[in-house]
Amino acid sequence: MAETTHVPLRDLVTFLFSKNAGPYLVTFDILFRSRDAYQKAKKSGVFTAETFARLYKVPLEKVVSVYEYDAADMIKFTMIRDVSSSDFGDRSVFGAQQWAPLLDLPVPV
Amino acid sequence: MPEEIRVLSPIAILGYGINEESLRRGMAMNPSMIGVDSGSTDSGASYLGAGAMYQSRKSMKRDLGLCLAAARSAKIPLIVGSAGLAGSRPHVAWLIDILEELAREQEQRFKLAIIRSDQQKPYLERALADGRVKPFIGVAPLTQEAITACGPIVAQMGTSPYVAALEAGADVIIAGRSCDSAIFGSFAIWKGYDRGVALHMGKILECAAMSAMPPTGRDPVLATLREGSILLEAPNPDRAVTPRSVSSHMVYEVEHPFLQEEPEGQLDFSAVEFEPVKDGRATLIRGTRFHRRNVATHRFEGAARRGFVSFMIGATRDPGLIAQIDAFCVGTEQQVRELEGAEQDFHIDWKLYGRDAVLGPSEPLRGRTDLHELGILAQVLAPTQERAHDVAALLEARMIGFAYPGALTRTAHIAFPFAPLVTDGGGCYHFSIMHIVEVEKHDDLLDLFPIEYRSIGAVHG
Repeated sequence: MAETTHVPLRDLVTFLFSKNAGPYLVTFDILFRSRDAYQKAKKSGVFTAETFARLYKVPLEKVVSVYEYDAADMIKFTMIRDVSSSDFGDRSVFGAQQWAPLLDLPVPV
Repeated sequence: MPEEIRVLSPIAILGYGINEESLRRGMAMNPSMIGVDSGSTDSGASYLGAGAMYQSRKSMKRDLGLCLAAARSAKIPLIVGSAGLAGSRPHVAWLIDILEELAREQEQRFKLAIIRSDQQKPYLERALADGRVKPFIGVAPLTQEAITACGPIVAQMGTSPYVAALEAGADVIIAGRSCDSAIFGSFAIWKGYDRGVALHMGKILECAAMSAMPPTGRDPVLATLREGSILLEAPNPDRAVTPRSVSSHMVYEVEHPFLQEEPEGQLDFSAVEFEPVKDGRATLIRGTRFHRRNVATHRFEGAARRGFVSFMIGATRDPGLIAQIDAFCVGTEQQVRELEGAEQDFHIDWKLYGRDAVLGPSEPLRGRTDLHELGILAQVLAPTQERAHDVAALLEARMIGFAYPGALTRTAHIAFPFAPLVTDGGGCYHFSIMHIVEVEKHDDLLDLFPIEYRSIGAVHG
């Protein structure tokens, strides 16, 4: 039986993207490099609300949705921001640059 | 069957700087209208709250001038929605002023329709009392107190006011806050197209060539509508619209990949198919569905002021201070609070650039102390600008003079790059209203979104 190896998510993607979906949500688009990489990611069972909550150290209910989007080989998830866009203490008005914790997420392939 | 139409979207936001060569190429493809989505809530609440402008007058005038000249010479409608970003009264007035100046300079004559989207508090209060208001995900339910404390309020219009203006013969439409889809889709609906295809086209076009590869908001895309299908292509030969580029763009800045709420119903992309055409340079899109709602709903957006901010930016290159930076922040704030005595009407927020300023508590490397340099943004929120400034000035002095264990310098702990040291940031705004309002069955949408017509340039028939 072939041994399962893990690769960091950064090696499987074309785009990793975070952006506001309205001022109260930040949405993450994980666009895989190939159909094959996307299929492996889907099968891995890694891309769940639990995983994202753990990575971002937020309560599970802050992750409002996770979708597999076959048309673009994309996994998309959305979280409730802790501070709404431009309110006092906001860290990123556009919801930009929030994806770094995903870079090293190990994905079994 | 409606006639074929071609809709050109030259730029993602008016004022970004239209690529003139690409615009010429787009115009050579014989568009039936030019549309521009000029707005967003993406840049924060201060534009709506304070009536501030996002772009300079110069860059706005340049882009609007290019669109106006192109549209008038081809005798096709020019539609600009969500004027000046927030689409409230001062933004619309600013854009109209620029347009009138351009019309004089270009000696253009046309019929202008102005559609406003400013909303009155009593309407929202009535809707709240009737139970017709729902919050977006992550937003608290609306309260009377929130309405009272809110500043300017706008609502996103759907297609009805646009269709009415086109029907009245408008050559140019400048509209307040709008659904992206309506800015482009209303023209197609007016021409007899199915709502799903029309609005889907609008959704894709609003960000111009962000749906192309390589993506950019500064280059045009053109959509050709035939019965039931959208053909999407980029006039600039350096870009291609591929099934992947357009399908990934369709979910940009939205929570749900298949379902999107519009005032008149729900767009459903779950059965959409993408077919590469024109040697892979363009994509044909089919299969959009639209589930109509009995009663229209509109997104209301309102900005409230939290207070005023003043801030300093500085940095430390001292490994000893970096190792105890949290204690430094707590300690300086404590000294300021002691000095302020009974006046504790302020908040202090710290951002430590180089450590966790971008991700905050989600930063996986937040515990690191082996940093060679650390940037510090300290900001104060207070009820008035004067109070925010005074507290920030006090905090700056404590940051310079704070005694910490093991310090190798007696004072001057922080490298500040600017003088004056304290910058006044103006009002701090947030979207206190971000709610869906169901209109009453008998509501005339033109009461919510009134249209004014003007003859520009000369007496118009």
